[in-house]
Amino acid sequence: MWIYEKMLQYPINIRKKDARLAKIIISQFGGPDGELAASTRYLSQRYAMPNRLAAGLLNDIGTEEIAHFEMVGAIVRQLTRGLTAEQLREQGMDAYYVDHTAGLWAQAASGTPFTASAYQSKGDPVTDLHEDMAAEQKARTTYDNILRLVDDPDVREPIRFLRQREIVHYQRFGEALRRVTDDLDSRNFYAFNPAFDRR
Amino acid sequence: MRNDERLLRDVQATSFLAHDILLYLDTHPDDREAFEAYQRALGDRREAVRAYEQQVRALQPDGLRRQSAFDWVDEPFPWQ
Repeated sequence: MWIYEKMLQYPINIRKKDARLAKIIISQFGGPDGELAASTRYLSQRYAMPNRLAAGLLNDIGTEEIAHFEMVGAIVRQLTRGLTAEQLREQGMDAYYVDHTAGLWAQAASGTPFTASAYQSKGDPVTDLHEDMAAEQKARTTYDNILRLVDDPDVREPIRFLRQREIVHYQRFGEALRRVTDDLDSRNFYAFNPAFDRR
Repeated sequence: MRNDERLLRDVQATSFLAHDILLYLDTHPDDREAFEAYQRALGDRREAVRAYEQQVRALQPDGLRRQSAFDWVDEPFPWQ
């Protein structure tokens, strides 16, 4: 189960509001490669993960991603809180404002609502870990794209932290994959699915 | 930096170190050296948490046991 700790994993103090930035950063809140997708992916995959090291890792990284979901939400909120409807319109966020005012809703920058279609939980350890490594790279690329559009150092700093975490997670999932394949038939990794087939 | 900010930074920094070692240990559970480093990191975190809760407010509901008042819904929340 989860216990809440009343702090952010990394500090966020944004002094200058800017809905233009919020509009794109929200993709890491509710977009296909964002933190909600990541946490739901890993926390869903853990149930059928037969390798206990990988299951433990999915649990712990999935938990960290919830903390990142919180961080991205904080960034978007701090960028938009207190802006008038006029300012939101000028800064390109009027469509969002109409449906959500200055609230947070899980969507991509395009407006596409968050969906489970963004991730897979395939019930096969080799497949799922590849999915996870790809997910971390997708998130990293998204943060790279965001950084090209953001000059404000108050915003850049936590984004760079989040980006760095994606790279570390990628590394860890790679190690978990190696552990899983070590346990499989070395002549044929696909001889059976240890999450499903009886041996 | 204000005192409460510094105390929070200490909790964040010690917590992060511990968490990062935890992820490594998940895939290297037999790394004795890493495990000992993890336990030391947890010790540092515990001290940082204690100092913060004593001087600022509860970090987890558990921390309310020793607070003089129910500060759990005091502002600022972490996202503010």
